[in-house]
Amino acid sequence: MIPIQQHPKQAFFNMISNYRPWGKLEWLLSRLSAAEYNYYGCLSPEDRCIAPFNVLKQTKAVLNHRFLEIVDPDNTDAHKQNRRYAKAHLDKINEGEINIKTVELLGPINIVYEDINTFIEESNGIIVLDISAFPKRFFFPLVKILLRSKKVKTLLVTYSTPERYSDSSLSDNPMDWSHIPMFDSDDPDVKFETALVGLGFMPLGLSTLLKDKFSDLELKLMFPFPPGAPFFQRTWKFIEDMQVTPKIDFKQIMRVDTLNVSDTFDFIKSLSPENRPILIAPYGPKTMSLAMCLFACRTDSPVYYTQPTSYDPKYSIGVTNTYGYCVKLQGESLFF
Amino acid sequence: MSNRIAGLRYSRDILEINMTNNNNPFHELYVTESFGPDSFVKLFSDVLVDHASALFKPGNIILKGLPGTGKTMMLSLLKPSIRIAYKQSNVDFPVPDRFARFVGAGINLIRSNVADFGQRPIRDKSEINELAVYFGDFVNYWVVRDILSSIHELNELFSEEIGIDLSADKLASFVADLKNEDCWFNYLDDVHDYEQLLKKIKDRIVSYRSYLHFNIDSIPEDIISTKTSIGIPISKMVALLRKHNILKKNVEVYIRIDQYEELSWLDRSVPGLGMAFKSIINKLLSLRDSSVSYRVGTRPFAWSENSQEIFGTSARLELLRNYNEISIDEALRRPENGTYLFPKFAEDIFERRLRQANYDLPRTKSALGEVFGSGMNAHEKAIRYVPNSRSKAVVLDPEWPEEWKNVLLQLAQESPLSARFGEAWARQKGKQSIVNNIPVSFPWDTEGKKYWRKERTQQALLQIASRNNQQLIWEGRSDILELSGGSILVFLNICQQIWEVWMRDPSNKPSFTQLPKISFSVQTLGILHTSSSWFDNLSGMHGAKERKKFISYIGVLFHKLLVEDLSMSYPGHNGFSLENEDQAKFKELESFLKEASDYGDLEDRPHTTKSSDKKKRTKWYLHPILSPYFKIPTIHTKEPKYVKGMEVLKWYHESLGIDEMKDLPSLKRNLKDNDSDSTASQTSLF
Repeated sequence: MIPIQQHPKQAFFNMISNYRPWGKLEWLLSRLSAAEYNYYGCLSPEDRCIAPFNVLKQTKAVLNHRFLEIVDPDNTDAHKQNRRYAKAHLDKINEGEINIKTVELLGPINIVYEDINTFIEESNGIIVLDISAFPKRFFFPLVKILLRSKKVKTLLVTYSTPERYSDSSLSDNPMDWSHIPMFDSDDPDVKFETALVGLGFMPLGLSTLLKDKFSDLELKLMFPFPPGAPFFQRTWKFIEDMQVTPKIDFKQIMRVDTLNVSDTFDFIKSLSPENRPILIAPYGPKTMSLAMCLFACRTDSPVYYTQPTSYDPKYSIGVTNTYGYCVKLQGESLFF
Repeated sequence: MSNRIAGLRYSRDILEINMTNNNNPFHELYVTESFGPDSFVKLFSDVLVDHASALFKPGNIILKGLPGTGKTMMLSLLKPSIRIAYKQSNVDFPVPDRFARFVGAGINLIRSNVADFGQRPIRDKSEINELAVYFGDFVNYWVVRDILSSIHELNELFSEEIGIDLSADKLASFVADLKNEDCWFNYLDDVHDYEQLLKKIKDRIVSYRSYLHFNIDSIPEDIISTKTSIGIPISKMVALLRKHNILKKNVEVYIRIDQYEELSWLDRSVPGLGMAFKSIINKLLSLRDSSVSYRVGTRPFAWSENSQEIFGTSARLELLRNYNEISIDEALRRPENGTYLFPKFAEDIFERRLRQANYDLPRTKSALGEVFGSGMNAHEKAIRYVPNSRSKAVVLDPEWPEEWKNVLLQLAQESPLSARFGEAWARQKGKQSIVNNIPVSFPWDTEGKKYWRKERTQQALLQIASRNNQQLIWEGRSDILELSGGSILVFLNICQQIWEVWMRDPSNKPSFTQLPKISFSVQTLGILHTSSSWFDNLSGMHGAKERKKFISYIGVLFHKLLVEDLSMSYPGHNGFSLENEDQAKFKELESFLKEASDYGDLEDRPHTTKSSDKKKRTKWYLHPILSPYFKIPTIHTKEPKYVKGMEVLKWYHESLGIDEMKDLPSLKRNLKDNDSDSTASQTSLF
């Protein structure tokens, strides 16, 4: 394993125990002493699957990398073409063919479990996980496995914001309401008092769920705010769709900073002072979901979702910014 | 202390009533236990109990019904919590006493996490059949545990009534016998008392879940070496419960298997897995064992499309031999002729909701009629569609003689609907001579032509409204029942939305207990909102993307056909008819249509054709609640549009924006169990 030298600025981070470094990826990398990183990302039809790898390549050495190419049941020519385009771009950045493993969206999660564990074993324990284009069905288990691994000493999660999302329906054909693999309680008798729902663009049958299965839980909704143009209309449309649900009171809606994973995590923690599990439904932006995921990993909270089986081939277009979040630093988990 | 305001006694009671009536009585669409025992029993309608009485008699039952028809509600009567709710509320349990000596238990196949069996191999390279055995073992332990849990739950209040005795000595002898049964393969050897038994059973379930959640590295060896055969431990345990008089001999045990049909979707994760798991459940139903009876709720086509293969054999389940069927749809869907149960069911639920909200209900009249009225007649609707110029009800052919044109225009002033009939009459084949030989009395208005009029009334109204850019009026008891299409969920949704609009109406005078009479305009707005959100929400379900596009395509097509049919020769073109043989040639299309019907987006009915070949056909219509959105009639009148399978396939392709006439991946990827049949059964999964 490559020893990590204490960078002066990193020493400052360490002085503040509850400080969780995050920001533009270039900035964050410039403050971290590690020179060699291992990159795990997603090869997808979205442009933003390219950006974090590009930033990392330009600023640090990439010791090892892996891209999961996720094939949806609805795998059209447009999906394939956009993935080919992304691959060509990544090959160019890598100055050689990138290392890809192809998996099916709904395939057994064991395949991912084994792949990431092999990747960890072959790494120096400094991992960058890019969640920009990973479906939640994948990045939730990946974060959990990386958090659990003793070998992983430093974990950065990266996320790129797109220039815009597709104007048409982003995702369709949701599966039944079910837990994300690895995110349910082992004890079938565990009861929850609170349900936390992240709000996004696509309700995907959520309003029915709120009326039915959540009806006896205390419901909290997290609204990413400010969503910023041009996204706010669609998020409010989500709320409007939710308004058919009689039990929703605007007092139940908590506004959280879309990009500030640390604050969102603290907010979630405040809902459960004794760190008791809460039922989580991570609709909405991935960074908000990341905070939910980190809370769920540490409290064994179940995470339920209506997994779409069809995504728009151009779910998002372009990239505006790429952010990095320190989740583990020198063997210390910064969340909990 | 009380205050007087405007002659009212302003007491705490009134405040509570006021608050209640500021709420929408239809806020909650689903009646679940979360309502609380008191509310649940008040809102639960027992109208369907007679029709589904076989649920409360021994024997396996498949309860078929479309989503929203009340399957879950009926099956919930088997749950101990519901039974307890009735007892605690002092309300008679809706099941007749002679059938009420039962214990209900069950498993929800999705919520119990059985899908996780496809996420991780048990050994290095698990095969589907091996996973299916583990799945069966998990189901056994889950159900066994739930039976014991139900007995405990019921014991306090129903010990006498049902015949339960949980005395310590009986439990001790029961455990001693149970652990020695061969079916456990010595897994229970270290169990010495009842508490240990419960713990041992739960530990096994938790071990499975821990492994499948990747929280432990392997399934404990003592589980791997003691896998049970599906159904056997359940039967053995129930027999011993009776033998030791913990349950009296005549107490039935009914096991609910929830979300059986959803197992098909596991095939998307591992091909053949859902099919294998279904065959395990089928084996449960095939056991010729009278100690327990199983209850499976399912959508109609999901059941009939299932191969019903029994695990480990080449045999298949047989109706009457292995199970019996109850169809809720048969009772609730409006037949072509005759009466049906739905109006009574809807009225009952409507009244229960209002009573719960403290409204005074009429003693003799129907509350539904009181609130929504009986609906305006077609002539009145036609007049409302032409508020400014009644002559716009008709479109005159320039070739017609002036005298005939004047007759129609004059008639339109009196009755726009009759004038529209006159216009159509003059355009129909063999009737055009009327324009030159104008009769004293109009033939379409005669008693002899009442069916001619009846068949065309909705189309005529649609055309009049369309010509004047008016929204169709939907209101009154009969419209609401018709639009519900036999679905209580749709009915409650309509009531909910109408009530929402009514509550927002500033001219609405609040009353604490008096039932409102809701105007036609408020009803129309509420119904339009329901219809449009119903269409929007189609995308919230399995495979809905393609269905929604197809529904949209044919909805627009039907509207166009009906509006452009000036002679009103085809008033039945709000549906299409396919010859069964032709339909069967397009397997994937047939599956798609049946799935759309199973989700309640389309309605299918056998079609007694008038064509000379008398070949069997099926009629397909949109669910009535989609009619307001697409502006098409709900009535199924005259002949639907006769089409070939190839034409429907073309619609399908066009709806998805596909030009080529070839099967699409999404159609090939249909979920017919036959397709996944055994193909992947012996392959390695991981």
